[in-house]
Amino acid sequence: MGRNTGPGTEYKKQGGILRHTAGERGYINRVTGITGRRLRHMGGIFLASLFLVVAALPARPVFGIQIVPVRFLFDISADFKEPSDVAVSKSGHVHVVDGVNHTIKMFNKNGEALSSFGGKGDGDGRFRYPLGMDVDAAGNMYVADSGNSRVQIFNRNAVFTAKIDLPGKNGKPADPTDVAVDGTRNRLYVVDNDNHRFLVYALSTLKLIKTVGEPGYGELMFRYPFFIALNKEHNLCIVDVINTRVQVVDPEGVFVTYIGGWGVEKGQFFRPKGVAVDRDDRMYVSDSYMGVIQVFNKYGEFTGVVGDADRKTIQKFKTPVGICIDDQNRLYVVEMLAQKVSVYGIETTGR
Amino acid sequence: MRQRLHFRDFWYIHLLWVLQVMIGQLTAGNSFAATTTPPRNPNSAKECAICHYRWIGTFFVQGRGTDLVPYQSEKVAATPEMCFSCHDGSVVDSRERVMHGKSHKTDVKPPAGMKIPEIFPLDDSGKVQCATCHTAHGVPSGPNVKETIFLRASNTDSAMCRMCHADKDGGVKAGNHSLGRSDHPIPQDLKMRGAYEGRQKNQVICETCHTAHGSPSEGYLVTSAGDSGLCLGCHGDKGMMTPSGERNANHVINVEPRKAVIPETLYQSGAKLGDAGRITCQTCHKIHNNHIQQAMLLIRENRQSDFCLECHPDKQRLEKTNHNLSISAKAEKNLEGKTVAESGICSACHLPHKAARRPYGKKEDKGRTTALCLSCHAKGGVAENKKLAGYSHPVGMTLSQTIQGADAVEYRAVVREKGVPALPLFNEFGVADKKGQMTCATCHDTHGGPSVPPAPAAEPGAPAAKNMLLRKPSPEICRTCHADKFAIENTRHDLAGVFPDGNRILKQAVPEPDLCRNCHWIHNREKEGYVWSQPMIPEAGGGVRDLCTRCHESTGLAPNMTVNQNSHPVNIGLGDRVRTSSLPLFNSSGNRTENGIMTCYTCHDPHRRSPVKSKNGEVVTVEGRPVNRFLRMENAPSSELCINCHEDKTDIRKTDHNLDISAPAATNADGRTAFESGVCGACHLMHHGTERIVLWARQLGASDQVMDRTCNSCHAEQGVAAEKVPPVSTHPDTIIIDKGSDNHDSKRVFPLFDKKTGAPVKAGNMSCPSCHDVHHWTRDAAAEQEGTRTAGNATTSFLRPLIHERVCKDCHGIDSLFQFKYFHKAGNRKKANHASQGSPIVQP
Repeated sequence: MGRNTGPGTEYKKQGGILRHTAGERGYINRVTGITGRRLRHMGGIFLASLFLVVAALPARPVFGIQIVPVRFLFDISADFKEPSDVAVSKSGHVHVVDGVNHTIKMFNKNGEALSSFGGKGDGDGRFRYPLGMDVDAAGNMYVADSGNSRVQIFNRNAVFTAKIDLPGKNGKPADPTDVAVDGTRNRLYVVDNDNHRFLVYALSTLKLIKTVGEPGYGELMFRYPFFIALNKEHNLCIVDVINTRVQVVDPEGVFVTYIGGWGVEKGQFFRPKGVAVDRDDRMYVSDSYMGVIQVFNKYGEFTGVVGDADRKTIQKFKTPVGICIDDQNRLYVVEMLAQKVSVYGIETTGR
Repeated sequence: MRQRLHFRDFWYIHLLWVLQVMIGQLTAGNSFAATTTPPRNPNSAKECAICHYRWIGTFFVQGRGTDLVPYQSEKVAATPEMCFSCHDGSVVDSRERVMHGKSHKTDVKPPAGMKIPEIFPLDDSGKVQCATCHTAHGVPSGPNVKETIFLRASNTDSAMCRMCHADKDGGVKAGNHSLGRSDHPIPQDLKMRGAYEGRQKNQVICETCHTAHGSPSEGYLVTSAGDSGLCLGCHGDKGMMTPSGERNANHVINVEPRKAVIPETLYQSGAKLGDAGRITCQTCHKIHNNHIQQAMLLIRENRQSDFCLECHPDKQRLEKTNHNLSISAKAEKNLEGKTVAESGICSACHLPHKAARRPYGKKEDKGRTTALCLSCHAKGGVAENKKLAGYSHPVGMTLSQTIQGADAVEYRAVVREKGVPALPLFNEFGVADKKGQMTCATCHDTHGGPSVPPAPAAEPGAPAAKNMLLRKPSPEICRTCHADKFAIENTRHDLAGVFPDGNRILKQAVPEPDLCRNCHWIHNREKEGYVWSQPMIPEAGGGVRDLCTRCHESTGLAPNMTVNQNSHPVNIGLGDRVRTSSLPLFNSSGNRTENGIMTCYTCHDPHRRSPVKSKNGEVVTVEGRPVNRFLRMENAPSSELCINCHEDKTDIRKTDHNLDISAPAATNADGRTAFESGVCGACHLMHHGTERIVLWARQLGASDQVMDRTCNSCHAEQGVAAEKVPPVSTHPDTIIIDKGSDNHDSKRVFPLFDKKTGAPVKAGNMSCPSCHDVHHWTRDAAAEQEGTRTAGNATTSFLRPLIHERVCKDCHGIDSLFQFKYFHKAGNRKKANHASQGSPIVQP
């Protein structure tokens, strides 16, 4: 058997569908040594059985996969230490949460460094292991300051303007891992990872409106919710890491649907982390262990995997976590252990 | 050979495959239908496979990879990638702790002799891996019970650490840092860096100092011990540092061992230097596996200061001196209540972490170092017989203070060698500091200076040997700071050289006379200033003059160089008429002060026979002109010294009254020409003048007024100015009142003098200097021409400005101009007199 210990194994293209070579070898080995007439008997039985199996399968190719083509543009590297999230403003400025450096770093649309702010601490404008962030239409920045159990807000010039000290639960401090801003609905959503919930704040007053979620497996239950994004309907798409799914919740806190599930097949997750929505309302979900970004349509149906537009191969990432798609349909992927943000242009064809 | 399968085997296998695939569709869920069949309930297969990746059904049951990932055949449950897939902040944020800093060794075999309990599995090659300590199925206990870190055994109170590292357990009895409840609170700062305490408050455990993951420092410490920071976090009471972070007066840390030499044997015993080779706590203390000295975890026993002397062997000299209290004060105990016999010779004065003696007085009085010396050398101290009393050489000043202090010109030469003081200075905490203060220990090496006699040891009570505890022999130690004073050698002020019998004549007992000691005694003087060897005679005036006149008197060593009444006044303030730009003035104690009095020492420097300036402390032994000897500034031919105060007389150098121009061969009472005596010296002698009046230096001329006689010294038929003798030079013998300050702009423009003494008076007859200012040809500086000898007029000719307008007019009214113009012409003066309309002459 091939020794395949992680992401990065070879794929080959057959008839426009990718096939995994290691998987083929596995089956070939199983039938080694069966020859001659017995093989013909076996063929008949196999065909009959295959009918039963196919009848039980859904209408999808088991070994085929669609590519959502992207084209590499550039990498952003700036002495990051385990960066986790990225957000892009309307003006095209790229903001990277450089968590172990306790800073937010800003770049222009070409990936050239502009400035940074923060530093370790618990004073205003300081961070302790921040994880996620969002930028509103005016360029204001909202940072999940995880280690300080708070959200800090900065204007577009990186001047501290406000903070929200988040309430804990049952003695456990809040652990904000990501935020999402909905200016239209005057809402600020904060994911509380350790308490398996999210908090809803009024954006204008920064007053807590409600908390939603509890530990568990069912609807509106989470096991370590992590990153969050809003789709075109202003629903919350929350990555539920250990439940290996994305849970969609409407702005009122009503469960809508799950997306994804446990496994390593297409449309399934092993370690889902980041989530982003493109201008066509497609949802992109990164899986940090499998090293892929899968794409779902607005109905939650798997539509493909981010892949190289030219080679038609799956684009593998090293521990992809936070992702973001800007107005230019660029895909920004934070590759935490690669200490970089890779930037791709999403091709409009090949969907 | 590969074993061939039978048809029956194939059938079973195939049937199993069909069932697996069908069941798999039910259990794994349909990705297309993800929104309708979510994994809502706990899935035991998933809960395991969440880490045991290869156990995912696709791999383990179906034996294949997928479109997204390849087939996984190897264990990856405990790989860093798998751990980090949750510890990236999505479940637990261990990014910095795991990805940065130092962590417990992995992929190495345990050291020989270390027994690893069976519950901690090593890998197939016997090496430690993550899984040796960690398992997802571990007990819920970290360093304290609040945490769950998936360990294989409870690590409450570091129990798990100690299972492998048993040799680090057992506390001081086993030669290790103690574990358990501590009197020292574990500082919050240390906790912020990752230190833990055990279940009890202030309970020290392994993880109080060490961390298995994310250590920023050596030895998996939560913070570095290379600057002693870790140790001092809890042991701040050892007093190693001041609250502001300065070194304290205890054993040094965080400095390179410049004065101490750490022998190789100590390194072999475990002594460590910290960052940049600096001394740290671990230079003396070995806190694990210490089988040498358990009580303090020292690297050496220190019963008789043996350990101290290993690094400080030069201090062994102390044994031969009375500072070895086992010789001089056997019963004396330090603040720990121990005698030298009990705790060693160093312990009498030094304890590594606290004071051994109670400082004398307030430490801010004289600095800690001096206060410690006085703890014995004062009344009630064990060295009371050598106590300090009265006035001694000053201490407590910094070099900069000295430079700006009492005698800036002289002390500017306080030397530095290669940027550091040649003698040690000490800061307020008693630590040697090149920016510190002078203390007793600046001059004295309490451990025995280089002059300490070799063995045999000094007998108890034996008198101190010469220069016994000085860092350098006297007078060389004085030279270190006062090198410029050594120009005194072989001058008339070098008592030993010029007057070998001088001390006897002066009736002074100098125990060990030398160049400095003949005049200066460093300790126990009765009055401040110059530590003079002689009693300070409380004569009216002040101290400094008394120092000089002790020898410069008829019964002194210099009876021929005394000063008489015809000398420049001393012990006077300068007032408004004169000022000095650089000559020193003194208070009554002899210390320099800006508004002090003039003394002998204002003009004279007894240490230097020539006013030639020294540079950088270089001793100048230029002989110089006789008239310039022991003067601070040259006085011939330039008269720089006089002009320094009498600046308003400077213009005389350009006039005919500069005899070096008008009468170069003329000599004064000392027989010196103007070139030899200086322009001032031609007419004035500072000592032994012919007359007290203006310290006149020449024979007086004829007149009934003493001031006129000074002028007539030269302006006479036999004088050097015989050609300038006026036909008439006197005013009618009447009394004139100098209205001066009343109606002449408050200026004394027309001085009158007493006939006999020449003293200024308010009423009297006029004399030559009433109209003439002998030091200025004219007040118009531009008209001054050196040696022109041009004829004068009513505005020049050494005349005071506008005399006729200001004074003559008082009596002569409008006729005053004529009276003034024809004053020296008898005929014309008489002719003009009838026109006088002035005020009647006032009778006395």
